[in-house]
Amino acid sequence: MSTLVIKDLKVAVTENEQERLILKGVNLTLKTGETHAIMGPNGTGKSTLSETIMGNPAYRVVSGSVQLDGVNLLDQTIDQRARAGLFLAMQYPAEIKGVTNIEFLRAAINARRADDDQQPVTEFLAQLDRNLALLNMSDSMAERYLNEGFSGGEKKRNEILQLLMIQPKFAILDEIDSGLDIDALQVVAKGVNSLKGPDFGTLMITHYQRLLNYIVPDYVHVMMDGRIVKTGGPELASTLEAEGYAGLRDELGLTVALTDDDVK
Amino acid sequence: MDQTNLLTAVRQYSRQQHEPAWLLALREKAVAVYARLPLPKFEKINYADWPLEDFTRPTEQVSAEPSADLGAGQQFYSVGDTTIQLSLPTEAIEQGVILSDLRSAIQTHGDLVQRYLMQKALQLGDDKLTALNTALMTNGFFLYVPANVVLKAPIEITQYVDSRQAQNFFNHSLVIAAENSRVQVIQRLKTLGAGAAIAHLLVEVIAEADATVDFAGIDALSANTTAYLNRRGVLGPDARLNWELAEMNAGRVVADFDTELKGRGSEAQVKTIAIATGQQTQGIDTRVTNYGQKTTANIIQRGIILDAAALIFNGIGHIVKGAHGAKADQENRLLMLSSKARGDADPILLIDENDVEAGHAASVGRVDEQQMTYLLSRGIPKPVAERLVIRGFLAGVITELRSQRLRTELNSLIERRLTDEH
Repeated sequence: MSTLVIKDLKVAVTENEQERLILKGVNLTLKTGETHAIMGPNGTGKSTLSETIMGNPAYRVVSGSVQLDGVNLLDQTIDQRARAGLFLAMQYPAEIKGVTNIEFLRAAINARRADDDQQPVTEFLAQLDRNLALLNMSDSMAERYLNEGFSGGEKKRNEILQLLMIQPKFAILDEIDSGLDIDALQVVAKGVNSLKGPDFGTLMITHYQRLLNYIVPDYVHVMMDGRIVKTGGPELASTLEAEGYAGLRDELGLTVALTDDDVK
Repeated sequence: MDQTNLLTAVRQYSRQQHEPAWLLALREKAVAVYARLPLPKFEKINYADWPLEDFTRPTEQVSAEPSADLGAGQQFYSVGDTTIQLSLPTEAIEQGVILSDLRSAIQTHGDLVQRYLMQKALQLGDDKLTALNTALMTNGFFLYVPANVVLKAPIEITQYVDSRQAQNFFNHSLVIAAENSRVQVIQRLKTLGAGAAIAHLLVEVIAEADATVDFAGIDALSANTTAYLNRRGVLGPDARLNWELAEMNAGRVVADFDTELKGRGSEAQVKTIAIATGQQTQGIDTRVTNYGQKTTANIIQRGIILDAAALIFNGIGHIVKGAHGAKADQENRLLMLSSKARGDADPILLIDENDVEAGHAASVGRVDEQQMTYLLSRGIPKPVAERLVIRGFLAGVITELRSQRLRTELNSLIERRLTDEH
């Protein structure tokens, strides 16, 4: 079993030469075998958390720690963290013309193996075929250039394809449901659910409860203003769906401005 | 060598080869033109001190010993002046396709060679170096595709510059696609041996009315080969010429890739990719001139510069008076991977007509950070990720290469150029 521990994490970003604190002390422990969901209103730091865990240099860690099985990840580069077992399914994956999906996947898999122990092509292709079938993706997707000309839904599926091929210890799914119709959402959920087991943990980031109907979490965390303000079981998501974030804020007696307050 | 000596040597060589009178006359005229003209000038490409004009008299290079790689699958395979392999599918032969070396073509298809050699695409008087080549050329390949013949399989050509020879290499090739024909040519240039070599390699491509020529050039000359490359195309009405040129050379190269859109409605695409490493200079001057009405030109050039190398891309779009409805577009992009690298991406538009469309884009930049982050986030180590991004930047341009085999070949060439010690 692996454990990812985030302790009192404070993170700042610089916008227009002004540094702004986004995460104001996040505490979270994930274990393999568990599925967590982080929900919260816009602009509350959910994506900052996922990008910081992965090591995006645009986010500066002010204090706190992120440890995987006792090893400090904050000292490591993005690629080292990925090889240590983290995977971030991105909202907006990059497009790389001229590099096919297949060679990208092979490079990613072989980066985790010793030079004298690279994955045999036949084994790779068999694994690829299985996963393409699971995600209702056509064989031609594998030959296409990486995300180039992919629709929003195809890009999300492609993120999940990579997840299935790479088989990390922890997957962070950053708004994997955005822009997906129900059919595509079901396919994506099927992919993630197929990995569920004692050696795999998930951290989902989402606005909506809808995703959680398909990938059922063990824990739901609500984030507001850079902190996790409430943790509960899947029923917490349903409460939120009914009462909204404002309801929870008022119940907790927080004085946090929600981006969408103006709407009312 | 002065002009008189050069003329004597040229005459002597032509006699030895039993060349027809018209060819001797052409060579004699070339000697005079060579003496008269200055070196061709390419913006920001300074090659005046390269030994391109260090030559002795024209002699035949005899390369009895072929390279270990026997050019499997090649229709034409030569080392130096020696043609080692020549083959055409029966079907192509039955349709009247001619593939031979230039020297044999002069003897057996003299009328065709006379009609096209330095007459349609390149012409005497264009510049000093093409004149020099005409005076001293000793061999090349000759491909003729008769009217209405459509060749499905590509004609693959591999030519080795033999650096074991002290003699300069003056090579001249012709591709003629007669009316409404279609052919794909793949020309590979390589160097055999580790010696220093000077190579002048010219190719003329003539696409007559309604013909389509896809010409891929994969140039991988060695670090010790200093080369002048010239590929010139001329198009008849509604003809199409697609150049895909990969400059993977390791030595000094000055390249002149020009296309003349003579016929109404003709179209040319020129896609060039290049990598410069070490102390190398590669200067690539690409020009497409729209003469005919409703002609379309598109130039895309992409290059990578490492170490202290220099890479210059000139893109010249020229629309002459009378070319109504012509289009000329170009894009030149360079990635610099070292602070000592030097790069120029210069678009030059010369527009002499009003009702035309012309556009250009140029950039000199660094590796795309977003792409890098994405690859790193999948655990791919930085050097590998960087190579993938760079390869994508280059290979993404060469999208027309139909066969998987060619794409793989090009990718591994790129990979080798990026990982070589430099």
